[in-house]
Amino acid sequence: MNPSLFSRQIAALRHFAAVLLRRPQSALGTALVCFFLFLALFGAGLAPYPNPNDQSHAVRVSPTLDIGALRLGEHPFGTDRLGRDVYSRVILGARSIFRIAGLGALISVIVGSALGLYMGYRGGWFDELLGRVIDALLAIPALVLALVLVGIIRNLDFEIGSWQAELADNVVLLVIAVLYVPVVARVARSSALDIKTREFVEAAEIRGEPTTYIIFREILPSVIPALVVEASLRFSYAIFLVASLGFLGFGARPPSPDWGLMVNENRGGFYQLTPWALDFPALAIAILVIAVNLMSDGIRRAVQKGN
Amino acid sequence: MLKFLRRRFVFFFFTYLISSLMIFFLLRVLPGDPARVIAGGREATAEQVAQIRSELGLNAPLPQQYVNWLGNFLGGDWGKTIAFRGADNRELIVQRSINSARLALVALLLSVPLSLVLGIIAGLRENKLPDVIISLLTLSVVSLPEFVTGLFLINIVALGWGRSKLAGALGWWFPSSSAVRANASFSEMLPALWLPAFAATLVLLAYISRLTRAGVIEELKRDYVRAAALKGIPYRSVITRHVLRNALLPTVTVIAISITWLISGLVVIEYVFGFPGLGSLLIAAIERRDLLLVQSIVMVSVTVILFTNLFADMAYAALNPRIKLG
Repeated sequence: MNPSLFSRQIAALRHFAAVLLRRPQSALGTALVCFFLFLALFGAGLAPYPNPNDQSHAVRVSPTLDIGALRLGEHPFGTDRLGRDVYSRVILGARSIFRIAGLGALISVIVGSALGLYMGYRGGWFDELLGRVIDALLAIPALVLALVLVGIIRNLDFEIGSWQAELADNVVLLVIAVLYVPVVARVARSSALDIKTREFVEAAEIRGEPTTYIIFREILPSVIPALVVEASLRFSYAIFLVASLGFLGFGARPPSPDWGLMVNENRGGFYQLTPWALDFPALAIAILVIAVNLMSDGIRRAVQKGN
Repeated sequence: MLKFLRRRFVFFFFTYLISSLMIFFLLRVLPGDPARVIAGGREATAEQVAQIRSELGLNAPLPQQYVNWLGNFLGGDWGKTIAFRGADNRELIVQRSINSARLALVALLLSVPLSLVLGIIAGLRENKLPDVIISLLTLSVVSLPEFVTGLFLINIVALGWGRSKLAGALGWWFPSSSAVRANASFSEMLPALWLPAFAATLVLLAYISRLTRAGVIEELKRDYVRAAALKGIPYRSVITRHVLRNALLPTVTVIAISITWLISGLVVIEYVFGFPGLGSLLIAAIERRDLLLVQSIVMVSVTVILFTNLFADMAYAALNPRIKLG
């Protein structure tokens, strides 16, 4: 790569980070998201009991966390009614929500942008037809569609170890990717419509460049800011959706240390026995969701300022 | 106006057609045999499966099945459930929809006035203390999943209030579960509606108030506001007569969009509170693999969404003479 271009990009990235972190709310959100990301990556080494289903503890131990004395104790968040350490389970649960929401959002942004840019650039009947399909898809509420798809795919019988079974295990990730493709495509399409009338695109057309070159080398760089904003927005919606699906029993299966699932397993009558087994995962979800929102709001502002 | 309406109706039918196609084929093309599921999964004999196949008309070619299904749906014949002891799908869905509509109504009655007031205050005091407080509050509330706020209301508000001395003295409790009889009357149901409606209100509150705030700020910047103020019209009537009239116009659309939002939110809220509405019916239907019931429920929610959007477009156009209806 051209070294001066490379250093210019680094400078732009630095400027973006500086604008993002200057606003206290955005900086707080970004820091919290980084903290949870750290847990997701290295949680297995940090959790005192790396096996989330280790039941070798007394059941229903109250939290030993003492914030005043800065003391964690044996079971900081207590143990649940099966004698599992809630602290370890909360730490270990960060991984699945980041993996599913992050990869799901990433796939939807990549596929959706390619589709939307192509629709916008090419136009004509292709754009018209797909545009209508997207409108129809968006008329079905996202959560309803997700529930239907996950519910049906998960109930299918596949041979254990086959590729279909592999896919069915990652059904929430795939459903999130599929759900958000039309949303991203719509954003990418309208950005492409705006860019495609510019002179540099016309120049490339006159040079006789192939369509893929025009879309990815001429149009894509100009729409990246809009796509970055959309990606961060998709990530925050995906976190929300993964937590909700987990809570409704349509995400991870027991005994996974999934936050939404943990909340669901400990509500109702169980809440009287072990309130902490519900409160801490619910708190983790609340903090993560608010942090992701603050961060994506900050990213949107920073991108707008950059333009 | 006629041309505008015609275009909206064409869009409406086209979207309806495509979404019904998708709902039908998504549930039918996926591998797995609905007849086998109904017959009882792997244990079912081939004869049982074959009999159910012919009963459900699953032997016909797919396009014909689609036409039959859509015709039956539009004609009001939604089949019988497998999951709920052979009840009539339509009766079941209509009853649950009425319950959900009651919940939505209470939620809208709570949230629309409150969020308009908050949005107007925030907009008039842009970047001042009231605005900062309202924005921070709504931003953190809007990002919380419905089940977190719902469980907070159940475990902290309802149970906490129930244990407090004040509740005993007043003799007034919030029910911590909303699992009422599905065919209860509105007044019987009302005590169970408050908490779930409040959970839904929190979701809507942030959304509507932020858009109202943006509308007020935008209108305040216009020239006519300065002109009116310079003419000596009192501030109060500049705001009420001119700014708010224009700023609140988009709110019609916002309320329609928020109904679309509410449908997703209600699924979770009804599940958390055990309320017998359409959303909890949907979850039960999916869990019990009742395909026909699932299809009908999704079709009903799409119908509601498309009609509210159509209605909002028309209302917006009727209220706003500046819109060119071409």
